[in-house]
Amino acid sequence: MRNAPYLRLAVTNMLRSRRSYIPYLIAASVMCAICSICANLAMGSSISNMNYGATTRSMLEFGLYIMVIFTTFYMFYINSFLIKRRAREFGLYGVLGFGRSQTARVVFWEGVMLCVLVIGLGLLVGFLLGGAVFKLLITLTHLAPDSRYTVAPASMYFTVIMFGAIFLLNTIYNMFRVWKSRPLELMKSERSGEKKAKAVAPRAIIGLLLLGGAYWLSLSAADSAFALLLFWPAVLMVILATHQLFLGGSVAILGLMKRSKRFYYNRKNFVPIGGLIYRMKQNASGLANICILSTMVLVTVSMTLALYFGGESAGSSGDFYALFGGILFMGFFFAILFLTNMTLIIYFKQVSEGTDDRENFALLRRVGMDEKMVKKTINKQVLIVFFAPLVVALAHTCASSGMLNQILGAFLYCNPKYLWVCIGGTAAVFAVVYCVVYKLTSHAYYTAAK
Amino acid sequence: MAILSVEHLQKVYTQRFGGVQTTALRDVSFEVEEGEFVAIMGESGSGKSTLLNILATLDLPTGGRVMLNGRDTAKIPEKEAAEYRRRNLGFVFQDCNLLDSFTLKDNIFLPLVLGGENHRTMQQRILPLAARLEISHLLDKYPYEVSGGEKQRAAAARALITAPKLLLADEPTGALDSRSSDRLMEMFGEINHDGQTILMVTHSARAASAAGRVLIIRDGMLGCEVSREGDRESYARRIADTLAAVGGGKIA
Ligand SMILES: Nc1ncnc2c1ncn2[C@@H]1O[C@H](COP(=O)(O)OP(=O)(O)OP(=O)(O)O)[C@@H](O)[C@H]1O
Ligand SMILES: [Mg+2]
Repeated sequence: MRNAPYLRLAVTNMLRSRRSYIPYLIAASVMCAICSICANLAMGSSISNMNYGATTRSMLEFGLYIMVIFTTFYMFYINSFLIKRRAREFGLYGVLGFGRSQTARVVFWEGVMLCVLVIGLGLLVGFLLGGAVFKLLITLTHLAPDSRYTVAPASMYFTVIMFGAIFLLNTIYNMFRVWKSRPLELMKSERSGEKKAKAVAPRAIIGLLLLGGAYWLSLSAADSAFALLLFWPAVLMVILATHQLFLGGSVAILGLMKRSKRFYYNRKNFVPIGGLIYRMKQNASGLANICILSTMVLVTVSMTLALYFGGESAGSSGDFYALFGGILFMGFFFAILFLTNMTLIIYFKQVSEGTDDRENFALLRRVGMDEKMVKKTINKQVLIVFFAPLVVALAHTCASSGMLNQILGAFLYCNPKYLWVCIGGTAAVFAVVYCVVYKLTSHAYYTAAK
Repeated sequence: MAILSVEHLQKVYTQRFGGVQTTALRDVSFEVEEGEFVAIMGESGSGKSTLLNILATLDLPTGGRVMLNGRDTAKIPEKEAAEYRRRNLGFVFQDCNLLDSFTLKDNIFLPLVLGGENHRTMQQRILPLAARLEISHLLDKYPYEVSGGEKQRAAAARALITAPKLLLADEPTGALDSRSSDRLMEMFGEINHDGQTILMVTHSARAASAAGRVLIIRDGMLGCEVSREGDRESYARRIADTLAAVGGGKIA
């Protein structure tokens, strides 16, 4: 068979770089499982013939659309991140006399294998967990407790087609990248992040203005119609502002620190500042994404909790439970989706930064930096890089409370204090989860840097 | 008095599991006088980098001792080792000498910053050094913006800015073409002329001919020594011939 050698090479490649492929595989399978479960509940007959099932079902359908959008976006993002990191490897193929079309074939087979694995695993996990999740949903929504869970074939087709399409597009993109570039360029493109950051000051100013505007809109929201109308524009403003601020703002602040010679050329600050500027230029968008994902988790969870518990005192009709149980359920699933993505992005960042820093720290030791200071420097850098997104996300969430209160008010007479309690509780739990994720992945950093 | 004296140095690497042992250095003794420029040559795997790492206090010998400036380097407490390195030694390696996150200037300042010097002193020291190594116009560039030869000159500047007692270089011309290599050796020669003591590992007889004396290592022992005599060309030829004879296995 003519494809056999390419297939074999693809398998070897994936086994060799399993440290990045296994997490990718797990995360993509989780996303696939979530989609398949939601699709099954939304499309299947398990719910629709119960009392109030229609309300819950239309909720789930709406949630599914949003989930499809997010999942697609994150699958593209992670893929482009991974493929960029492999530029040097592809360049090496070229130098070794492996033609571009041959490399593209290897990439194609990798895509096929990943696709099959992810869809297979996702459907399997979805199938196994579907029943339990269904139980949870009927408990939350107070629907008929003795109804049975069935798997709808349509939802399986939906999941297969959706993930098939995502992988097809990703693979085409990867093949296009390999095809388009020359060996030398590919070898160099891993370093492209080292270019100087452009338009730092304008970015910082635009970011501040957008963020200020969005915060003001949220905090000054006086009625629910206004809040509902401007909620998504405000979200968009915050997303844009976060991206601009993480690049422009961070580099601007670090640049100011660098300008003060006494501060910069101080043994405690010199290496961390240099490292951070370098990191920020390379990773601003990754950090901004972590921040946005964290905000989404925080806002979704606190909002749904506030709705559910705040509303519990307001009414207890069947329609109420169907609606808010459905919301709580979707919120729970979105939280898993965002958390999975966030963990994956953090993990990849740790591994890639650890790998990048290995030689640097070896050099610093030779030049006369002692082990204690090396550790201190690493901690300083890594802490700032990973906790900046958390701090900004907490600020975003607090600022969102104004609008959220108005929106909650539109649904039911909800006491604002519920929202604050929910935000506080969610933030505390989230911070703990974030620290755990950080601790687990920082191990990946140290092993990569050793 | 010799600035560096190496006495019966031995290094045996023991695998953590299974206890397989590799003898990298068997019995090496030599001395380097202040102001000397000494090259070390030998086949791949003969123990040159091992020797240099021990001299650099990055690794400990399993036997013998190294006296640098009258002090036994193995007796320096762990805590002081980093500072000792910074004050007394300068390093240039084959590659990966510079941090990509800093400009050449900041890379050169690195050991001074770690030593807590003030910015004015740094500025004063870098000017003549950069001029001497002809990188004054490149100081604000990043390592990925300059050529390999320029990078090595910046690395040399970083190694020299602390005015170290001893400059250690492990194949500094290993990644360079012959012209950049000649330029770098020419500069090493000039720096040595100004009084800097240099110990350099190299694979190139041509590069080694910049040194006053060449030590040849074979199988973890000093094979023989070639000293500068006559013009550069014949000196380089003599080094190459001796190397071929020693490397060919005639001297055990
Ligand atoms: N950390 C180590 N553990 C075990 N063995 C080692 C270690 N480092 C070096 N060796 C072995 O010690 C011997 C000498 O190695 P060394 O790196 O000093 O050689 P070299 O002369 O610098 O070679 P080259 O010219 O290729 O750089 C080799 O046989 C090598 O395999
Ligand atoms: Mg070596």
